[in-house]
Amino acid sequence: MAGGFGTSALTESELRQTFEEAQRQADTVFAQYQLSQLLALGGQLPLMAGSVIGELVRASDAVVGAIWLAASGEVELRIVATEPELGGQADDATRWRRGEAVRDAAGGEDVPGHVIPAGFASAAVAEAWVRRNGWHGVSLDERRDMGEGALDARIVGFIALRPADGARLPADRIRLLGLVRHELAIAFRAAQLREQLAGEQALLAAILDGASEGIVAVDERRRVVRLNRAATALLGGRIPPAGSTCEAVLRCGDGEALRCGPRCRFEEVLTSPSGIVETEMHLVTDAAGEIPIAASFSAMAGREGGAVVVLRDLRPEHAAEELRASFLAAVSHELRTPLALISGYVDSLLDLGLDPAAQRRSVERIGHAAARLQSLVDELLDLTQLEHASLALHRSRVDVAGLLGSVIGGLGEWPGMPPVSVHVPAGLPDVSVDPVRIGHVLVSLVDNARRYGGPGAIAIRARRQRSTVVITVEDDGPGIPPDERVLVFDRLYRGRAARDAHPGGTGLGLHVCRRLVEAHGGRIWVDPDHGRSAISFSVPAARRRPAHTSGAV
Amino acid sequence: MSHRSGDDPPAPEPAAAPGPKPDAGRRRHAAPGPATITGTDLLAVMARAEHLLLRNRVLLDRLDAELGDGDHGENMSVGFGDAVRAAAAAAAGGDIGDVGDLLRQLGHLLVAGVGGAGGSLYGTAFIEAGIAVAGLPGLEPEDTARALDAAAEGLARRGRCRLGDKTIYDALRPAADAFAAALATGAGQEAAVVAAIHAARAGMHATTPLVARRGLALRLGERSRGHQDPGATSCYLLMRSLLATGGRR
Repeated sequence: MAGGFGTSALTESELRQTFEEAQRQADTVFAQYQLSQLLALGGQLPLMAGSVIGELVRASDAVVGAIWLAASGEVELRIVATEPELGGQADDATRWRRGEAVRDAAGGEDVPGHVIPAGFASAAVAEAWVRRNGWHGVSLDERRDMGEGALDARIVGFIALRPADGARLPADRIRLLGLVRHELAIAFRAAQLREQLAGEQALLAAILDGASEGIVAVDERRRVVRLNRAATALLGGRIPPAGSTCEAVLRCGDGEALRCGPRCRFEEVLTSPSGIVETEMHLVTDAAGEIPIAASFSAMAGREGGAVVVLRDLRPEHAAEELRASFLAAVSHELRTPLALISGYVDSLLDLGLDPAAQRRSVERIGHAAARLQSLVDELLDLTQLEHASLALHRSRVDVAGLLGSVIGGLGEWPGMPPVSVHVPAGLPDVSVDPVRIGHVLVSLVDNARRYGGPGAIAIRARRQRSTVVITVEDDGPGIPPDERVLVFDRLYRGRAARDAHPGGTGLGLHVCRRLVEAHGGRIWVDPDHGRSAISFSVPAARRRPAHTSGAV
Repeated sequence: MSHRSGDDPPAPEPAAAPGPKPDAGRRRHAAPGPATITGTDLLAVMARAEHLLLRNRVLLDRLDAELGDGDHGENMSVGFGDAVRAAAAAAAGGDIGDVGDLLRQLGHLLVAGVGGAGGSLYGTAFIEAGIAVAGLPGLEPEDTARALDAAAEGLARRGRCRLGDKTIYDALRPAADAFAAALATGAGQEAAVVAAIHAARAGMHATTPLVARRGLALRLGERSRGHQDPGATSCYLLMRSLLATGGRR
């Protein structure tokens, strides 16, 4: 049977050779398996690269290895791992070092190939360096099928191993590197993409949570997949359980009818993905009940589908709108009343042969109406100035009793003005104010007392309070209910009783007073009810004159 | 396996019951001495090994989860069980005349049946042990020493590991050395096995402070310190399963 094909007995040495070859193949397969296990676990890019090069160096009988990775599409490569375990020779650790800017040749006294370049301009430069310095390297390129047989090869990095000095890498170790290069390229590319994705997710989260509008994203089955902070706040802090549908979160499906319309808007944009639907709807919240919302629904591109709604709370807008409308109504009413009076008296003056006394009365009434118009226009102008913060104060040292006296003197001719008493204690310090502006505040408060107070006397009292002087205007009216005591100073706010009893009035007077007092560094408030209605304000006291100070001490 | 707290080194649970008594009447070749490990004895050792691995499966999985992918206990208990049953089925009704052949068969079954790197590494160890004692009807103490040494060498070559890399080898090499050293001082098979078990246990514990240089734990770097190696732990369990046989004289 000797010599017969397939039946010949193998010689001892042939057997041993076959056995050893099988062993080497098994070793290669095992090394490949170890590498794919490492790659399958993924992890952070530097750790992954470090463990892979460590495994490869050991599996290839090399003494040092390095991986350079293409940084986000740039041609420039960067080194990420080297010197994992140098064959147990501690001295070797110092023989290879990372180069800072080695591009073409190792400089100085460095042994060529013992300085590992920090980067290569291209894979071709890397290959040239590897050949020149006795390393063995391959480029890591990711081959992707682009369809119709076109392959896209993308350089992900470069990997190189250095055998012991004067040695060569065994053939089967070189084969190992060739076997794993595409797998490595894909794994590193995936890790890079994962890190990029994580960065983009963090950016997206920051943008979403920083937005003042509520943003809710749903998947193709309208399950809520994302809620930003503003949306959570709109919903009253409720964080819906995972997998909740949009009805459960937005509560638009509650009750008899869908509140966002006869048809779900998410459904609409999900079925016609090019569309954006802008709509107004109501959101049911725990804290504020139903609130009006402007909602903009849009479909998300992508294979999975899904949609996003941006929710804008319309309450501030609605409130501003309402305020503006009521302001306009009030102002036009206030303007129209004196105008009607004026034109009425003018008509009667022109048409009728009035006696001189009646003529005089008519002209006087025209004068009063004109004065009311004047004060209304003044208030509006003041307000405009205040809103634009262009109020210039002309402060001076003002004697309180003198200021009050001149204000009261000017009020004497007002129709229906009850008697006004002034109480200023002796020794009250002067105040540092713009007398015109504070005079205006006093006139407004006294006029307020005249309008809404009773027929009894109005009292103005001044007193010292620490470094301020507090001036209080009292009347015997019903006063302001506690829940309105702060609101009455808001722009255009008018008390309920005032609205009911006196349809005129702009709601500007007390607001202007507050802005003027605050411009002086003071405060204005409604005093607690003590049987009389009272509004007080504080203004800074003037510093004592040096002469007075020395005399007092 | 209940979870222990603190930093006690994990110690596998001992076998609750000894394995089936090996049938000594099946030996045919030559006349094995009382301390000889026959093929039937080996099957009993393997059955005990599977039993120990099953009892410590959760421990091995947990150790592996700290360093690798958390399936060493499952891979080993399932793979060893399958290999033992397949080898026993192959031997059923007949005699096991060649211990080396049985070891190699087991090795191939382990390579094919144990998941993870453990299959290749233990499989290689068994195959190399089998080659070292090819053609023998039973293992005399010096045969066992050769088999253990060949197993350790084969495993080191396949895994490219050295002592201190935090691998199976850190338990297996000291065990093989301790066995040989015990024989050199005149000990019998049982005493040498006991010495090997002690050395494997010490080697297992010694992996805890090491930084891994092979396998999945490689990616952890310094963070692999402070965890006992699951491979060294399963190796200690396998050494333990030799004990009942080694005790027969």
